[in-house]
Amino acid sequence: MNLSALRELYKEPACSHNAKKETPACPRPTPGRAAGGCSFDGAYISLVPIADCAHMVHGPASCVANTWNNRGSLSSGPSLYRTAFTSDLDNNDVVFGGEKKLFKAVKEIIEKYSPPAIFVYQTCVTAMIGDDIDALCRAVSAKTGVPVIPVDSPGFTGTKNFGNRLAGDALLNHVIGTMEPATPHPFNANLIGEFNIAGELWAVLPLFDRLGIRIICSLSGDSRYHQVAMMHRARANMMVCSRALLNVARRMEEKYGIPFFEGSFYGAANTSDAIVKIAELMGEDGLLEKAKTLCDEERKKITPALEELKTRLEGKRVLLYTGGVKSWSIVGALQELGMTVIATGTRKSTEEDKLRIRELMGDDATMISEGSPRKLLEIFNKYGADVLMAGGRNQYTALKARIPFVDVNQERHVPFTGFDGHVRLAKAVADAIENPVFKLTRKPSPFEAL
Amino acid sequence: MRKKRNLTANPLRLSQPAGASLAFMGIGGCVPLWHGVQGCTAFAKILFIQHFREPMPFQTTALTQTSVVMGGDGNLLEAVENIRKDAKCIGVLTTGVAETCGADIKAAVRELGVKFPGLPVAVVSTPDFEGTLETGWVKACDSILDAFAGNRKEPRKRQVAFFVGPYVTPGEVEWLRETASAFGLRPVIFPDIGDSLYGRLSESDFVASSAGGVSLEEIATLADSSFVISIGRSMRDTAARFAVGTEARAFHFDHLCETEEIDRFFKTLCEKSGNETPRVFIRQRRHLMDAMLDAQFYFHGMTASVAGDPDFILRWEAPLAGIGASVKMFSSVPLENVPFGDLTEFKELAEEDDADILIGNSHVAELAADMGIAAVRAGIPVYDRFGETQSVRIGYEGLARLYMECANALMGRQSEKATPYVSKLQATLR
Repeated sequence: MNLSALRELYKEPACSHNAKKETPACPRPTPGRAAGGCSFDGAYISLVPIADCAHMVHGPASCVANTWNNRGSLSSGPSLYRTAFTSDLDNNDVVFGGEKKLFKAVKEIIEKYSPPAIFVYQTCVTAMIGDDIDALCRAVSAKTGVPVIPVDSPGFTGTKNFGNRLAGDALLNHVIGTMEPATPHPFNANLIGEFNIAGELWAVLPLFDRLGIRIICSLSGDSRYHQVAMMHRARANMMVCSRALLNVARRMEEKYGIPFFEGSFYGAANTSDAIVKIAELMGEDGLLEKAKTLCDEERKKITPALEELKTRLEGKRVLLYTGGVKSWSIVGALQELGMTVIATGTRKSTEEDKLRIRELMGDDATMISEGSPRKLLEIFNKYGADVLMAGGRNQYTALKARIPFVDVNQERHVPFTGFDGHVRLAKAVADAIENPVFKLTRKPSPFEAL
Repeated sequence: MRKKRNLTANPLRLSQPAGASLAFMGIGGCVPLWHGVQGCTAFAKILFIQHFREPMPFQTTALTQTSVVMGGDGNLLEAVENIRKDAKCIGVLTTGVAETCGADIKAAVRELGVKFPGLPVAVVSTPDFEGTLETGWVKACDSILDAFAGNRKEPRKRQVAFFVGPYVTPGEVEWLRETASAFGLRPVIFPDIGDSLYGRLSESDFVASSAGGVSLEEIATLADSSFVISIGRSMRDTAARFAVGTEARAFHFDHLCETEEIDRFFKTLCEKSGNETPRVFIRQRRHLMDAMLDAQFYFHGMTASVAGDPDFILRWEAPLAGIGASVKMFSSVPLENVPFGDLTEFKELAEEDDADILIGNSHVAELAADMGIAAVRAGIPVYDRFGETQSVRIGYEGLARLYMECANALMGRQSEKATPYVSKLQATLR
């Protein structure tokens, strides 16, 4: 990717990191203190859930061989996305160039699997040796008629978050707006940044069906190529619980005049707000009323279960360490259950996110911007928390410290979205706190006592 | 449970004589002699052959229609005459047939004593219209003690007597032996199916009796043991009664499948041996704590239904409840506060309880497959897997493995995945 294009992307105006700075840039990772993936990682994971496509990584083993298929994004149909394609560069390729190998590999995928489209990901090494994947993708597309989309995402360009943006850029440049729905429908919307982890999308889709709102595309959980290509026909975009792909929503607003808002399906109140907001953006009063009634009904339905769980959770203290929208949406969901959130992580949160955190937790809310394991444990003990809710990478930190833990990120197996999801979330927290193992493991071993 | 049971569909209860014959298999050079019809023996023989993957030297008095009317004592004498050359001892057990035709087993034994003086014989009355495998095992153990255990003579300071129930696997018996030895103790395990049924190829091609087990000489020294450890609820009373007459103190464990109980077990060995717990076990305990923390997620909100004899369900209830699962026990025979019955009823209950995992023998695993839920095979019989005989689910390391086994089963379930939902409106896109 040339420098000016990169700079354009760094400048993403909707990104809060750029709000007040003169030279816009996403934060540079600090050597020796960096945690998290690179931009290739970010680009790859945001697009891989497009289930019917082949995802081809042009690079050496590290880029995909170590981590493929380890996220819980589920598909209701095709499973091609779970096959990790790579050109798996060797010494010779690095010296003589990997384009020929890539060309043959992509053609082989088309012959063997006939996918509706192929995404080709550029990585550090192939970018450095000068493989021109743009030209190559154009050539294969022209020859075979199958869309081959270059995703220019070498890891050295930045963080995982920035990689999400690179992925969005590829979709905006090559996919969105290239196909039209067969049948028009009055109410269309997209969910952007919903990855269907543990089936979370499936937990909310039925609600939209009941309102007659057609979700053209969930980007990118359980999505298909044609859905992405038709996204421009939506009347509203909801940015779901994630900063990822923010540029897609913003540029679709610019280009197609589609309004977007940030919302969350975590917690009954948030879910209601999101559904009502989408209905509102559809621009028909009848639909709005219907949406409100539906949400009221659903909330009533889960009240008995939530009340019962409340008796187990009331007064319990949570340390929440997650990113972005989740840093406030889950706070709300937990407070609804009578729990106290003692602190929340804001490493990936925007100023807007932080404002909402203050609204929910008060002005002196403890926000954790740097969550090293040691720091998390310190805070946990200082505030006398009962449970840590965070991503999988902190799971074993918690367990080694004999601390109850709930995974709120991508390695989960239980969907926490929607109304029923709120009950499941509450149950997961209660079960974690009450597990007898913690009491047992905190007792001294008889051998140390002897 | 139903007030009056008329129908049993897919029985969970195994027969009492089967349990007795299994206990006799833990005595060195013993031939279990079934006083009954050929079939009684054959069915149990097949059950154990499939489970242990070992030959079973069971013999039968082969009662006929004449002998059930005229009395079967002749058959018993004839059978003993024919097998005594192959046996160091004979364990006679009765079946429902022998009991119903009124066999006076005590009198028969006296007659055996006259006819074959010096031949070691233990006799037990185990009609199969009552009890279960577990009760048969205990009755056989009692009869062996009555027949062969001597009085206390010379105390053996380093000797520990283990009284084990039928649901301690041969692998676990071996673990007990090694563990006690690691404390510098001399274990005598009664009965010892670890020695006879673990599955080891021997020098000789053919053995007509149990291929190993606790010897009659060792049984004679049981009363000289420094202390007694009983494992399995069913063996508690037998061990306690035995200890009373010997000055040896009895320590009872319903199971060694719970951290606190294993702690107590090791403390007992420490105190009685005067030696410290070897480092390997301390490290294993740390591993168990870590494994429990890692695995506990898979037990959140899970319901585990366990079916089997009382010893078996008790040894599974404790570890599963200890990691946060809700456990529903189901017994083969009446047990306080626990429903009992056959596997059809067990399945109905498990469905009612919305069970996530079933624990039990191979028949139970089949039910789980029908229900589309997880299963862990354990107990008797497990005929569709290798390794149950050698499995060790007691002690720190064994308990860690138990948790991993269950967590793996839960992880592998189909139902763990969310149900896909496709909007009808999707069809309008193209």
